[in-house]
Amino acid sequence: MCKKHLPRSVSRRDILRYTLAGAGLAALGPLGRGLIPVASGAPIAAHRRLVSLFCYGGYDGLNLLVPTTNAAYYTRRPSIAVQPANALDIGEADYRLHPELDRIAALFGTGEACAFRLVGYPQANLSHFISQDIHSWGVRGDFSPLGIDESGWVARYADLHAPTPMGAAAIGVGRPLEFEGGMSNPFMAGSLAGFEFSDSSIGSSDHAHRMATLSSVLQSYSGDTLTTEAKNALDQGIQLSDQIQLAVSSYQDPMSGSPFSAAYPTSTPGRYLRDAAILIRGGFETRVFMTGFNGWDTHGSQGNETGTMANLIARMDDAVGTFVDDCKDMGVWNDTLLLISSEFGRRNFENGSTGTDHGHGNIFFAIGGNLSGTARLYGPDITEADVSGQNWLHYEVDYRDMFREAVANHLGGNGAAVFPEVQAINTFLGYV
Amino acid sequence: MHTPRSLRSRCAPIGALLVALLVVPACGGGGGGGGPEPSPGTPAYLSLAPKAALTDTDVRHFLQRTHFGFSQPHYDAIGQLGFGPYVDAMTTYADTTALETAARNAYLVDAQDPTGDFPSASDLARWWLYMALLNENPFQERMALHWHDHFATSTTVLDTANSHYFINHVTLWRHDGASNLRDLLITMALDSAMLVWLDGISNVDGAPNENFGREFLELFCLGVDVEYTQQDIVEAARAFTGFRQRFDAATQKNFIEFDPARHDHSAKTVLGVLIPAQTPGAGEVHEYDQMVDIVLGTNEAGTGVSRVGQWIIRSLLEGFCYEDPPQAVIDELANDLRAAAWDLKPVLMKLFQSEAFFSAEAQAGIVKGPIEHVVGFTRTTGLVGNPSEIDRRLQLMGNRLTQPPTVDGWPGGTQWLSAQGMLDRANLLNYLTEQSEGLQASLSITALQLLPAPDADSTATVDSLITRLRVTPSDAERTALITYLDTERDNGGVVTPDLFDPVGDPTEAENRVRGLLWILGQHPTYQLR
Repeated sequence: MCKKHLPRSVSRRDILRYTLAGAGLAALGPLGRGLIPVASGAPIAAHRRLVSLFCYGGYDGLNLLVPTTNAAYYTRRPSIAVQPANALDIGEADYRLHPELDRIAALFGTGEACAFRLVGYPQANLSHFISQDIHSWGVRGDFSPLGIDESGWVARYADLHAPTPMGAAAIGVGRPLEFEGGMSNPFMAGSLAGFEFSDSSIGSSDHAHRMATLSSVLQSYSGDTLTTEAKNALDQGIQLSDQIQLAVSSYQDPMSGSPFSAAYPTSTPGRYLRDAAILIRGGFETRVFMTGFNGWDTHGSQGNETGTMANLIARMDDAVGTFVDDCKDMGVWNDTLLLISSEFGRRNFENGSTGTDHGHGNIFFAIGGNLSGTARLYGPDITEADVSGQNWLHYEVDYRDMFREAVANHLGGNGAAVFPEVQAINTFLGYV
Repeated sequence: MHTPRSLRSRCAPIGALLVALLVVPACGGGGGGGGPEPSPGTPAYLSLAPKAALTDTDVRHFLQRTHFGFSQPHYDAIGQLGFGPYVDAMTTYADTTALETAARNAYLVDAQDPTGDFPSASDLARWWLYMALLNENPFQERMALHWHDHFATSTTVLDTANSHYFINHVTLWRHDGASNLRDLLITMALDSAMLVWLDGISNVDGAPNENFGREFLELFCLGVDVEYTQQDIVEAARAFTGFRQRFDAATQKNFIEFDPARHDHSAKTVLGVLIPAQTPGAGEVHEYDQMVDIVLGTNEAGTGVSRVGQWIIRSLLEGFCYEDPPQAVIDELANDLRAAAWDLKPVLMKLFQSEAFFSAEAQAGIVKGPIEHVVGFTRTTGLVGNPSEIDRRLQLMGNRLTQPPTVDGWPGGTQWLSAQGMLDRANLLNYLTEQSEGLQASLSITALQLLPAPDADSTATVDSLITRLRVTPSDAERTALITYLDTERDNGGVVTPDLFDPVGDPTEAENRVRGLLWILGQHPTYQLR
């Protein structure tokens, strides 16, 4: 079973390790591999964190940040438009939020959330999978002129700034392309509660015995690239499972754990963001969290204030709102930035099945305790001509400016190294 | 509305599974032969000439790739029939009615649903998994899994009234996986589950829905941005208009029909080919088979090689042969496929007997997905579990049959190799190697049956099992495994040397072999196929 999309000449399997050209980082040795993570139960680490929540399927940004005074929006979306009276006021004359974004709307009111309009990248690609890959790589064109091998942007960040096994974490999204390449070994979990070995029913002594044998086999193992990937993944599981379980049980402790342990919605984003909070409260040194959930490919029966997409929005909003409260309780909110994005926007008009087909330009969000800008909205205004005269929104803000500023100004990292490609459009946003 | 099927699924399926795992497959003989002569100057990985003599390792590689893993009866059958005739028989699917009836009785039919027309999503997943575990021709199931990944469709969009669509959908991949590509494409495009999954039933004249049109070109037939443009997608979507879903109150089931009033009767031009306008009215017909013929007629400029041929062959090579297929091999098989009027069988036979298939590059390994991992382990060791429990765990691992995450199928490759993924594999093998379910005990399935001799010592046992599972430990690792069999560890954690003795203490030996199988299942080399 192979991924069908190999838009570049090299397959994922053969992705060479990202070369740390020149930098004195070679002194760190085999980055990440085998380093002992910060033990769970340590105090909450004092450093900045970035959480990327990716909405797979291409969400319809125009129904998230609704251009309530844009007549073309209502003309072209007779049944799926969100009506101004039902949308949430964020203090902007021409834009309101979808009614299910109530918790995020409140954060707009306190200067803890903002949105970016007309976000995209050069040469729109309307394939989910190519567009997702472009976002994962942080590179639109070829890697060869950049002098680096193919790698995801989180892998590049982790190599430079967070090379330990817990330095970057993917939760619930498998092993995303963001983590491919590079020399660090980010943490990937589907569910922290399930991140442990089952004992053999034959008897716990047998389990300990076979685990000891397995560990000794792994210690002496040396193989090719692929089997080494397998070995590293298993090593990581063995090394971390006890600490992860300690973090889970500490988080859930009714006396000393999180007061929000039971408050998260049981939806997919709720579970994933709760797991992120467990890692933070557990004292792990994770800098970048990558998570997301799908369902946003609303070709049919998209709904408006209610319906399919509204349900997805509600799930996202409840999960994010709870996570923000949890972070505030932990005292880490001023160190935390959450970015919400998706592979592309959708058509300006509804199709015959009251849904929307694939488009390009979109609206992204940033939520955090230390947003520096005073603006609630970044990027140009969405004009009537943008909506009426085009099939889909064009882009005027490269999504990488949003992420680069997060890496450079929020995380204090080398934004130019993580997003090295020369862009056709550069925008200084100054939101963080 | 359905009663739990746990009791049912714990008894009948497992009894049949035991039989299936031990029976010699019924392979028809005949056929084979022919093909091009080996060309001495060509590197093996580029050569589609038949490999002259297969080694023991070659046969095990073949079983790993095409049968989910080693199986003694199939290994023996290759020896008895000869390799060419075996591949011929394997790609000629026998009637599997008995298996399907057993699966249907176990998972689709019950007192509340005597016709089996209202299966739940879990019913469908377990029904198929059961057949994948039991089929005496594992290739038929491996091939079906391949097409399920390529033409990925999920039960998640179905409900009680139309979940029965998926029975035909699975049957298409299971019955016709080695048949004719043109027929497969047409049947796939018109398949009811597909029409729901990619919005074909809401694609209407005047307001086309591009979902199926795009994926038909991009994912199913041509590859991303190969030959087609956005305008082709728009035109294709118009050609695909006209189907709708209706509810039949008498049967309480949905059905799908073509409604000329919803079809765009004006002319379309797709990939440079004109689909003429139709006269509006009752005589109007759908244009799905025309669309299939248009894409099948698309060739690469310059070489003239079929674009669909290239895309489908690439998919087959990535699934069965190697991850980075050389263009020359793709093009040769793509030409063969078109020359065979799109019959898949001769192409599959040529591939599986080729020097390329057995080349070092092809044997280097492809990452097993969880389905391949668990079905392979069960078929290779005979240690069975309850398909319902296996399905539950596959769902957690993101590799549930009937539910690929997107129309792109499963991500695959190294994306399976996360720490969580490895823990999940370990825990699934823990389930299969434990005996708490009592299934294996009640069916007298023992791990000791895998020993090379009833009184085999630890060294012979380790060597036999690493060969069977295709695990390749270093000398030091092998020594650690032998020591494991020759060691006792008490509840206090005290380790004492104690020779492996399957005759004198079969209970203890059984436990140790099961522990050894669990360890081997974690070995890095076992994660590849």
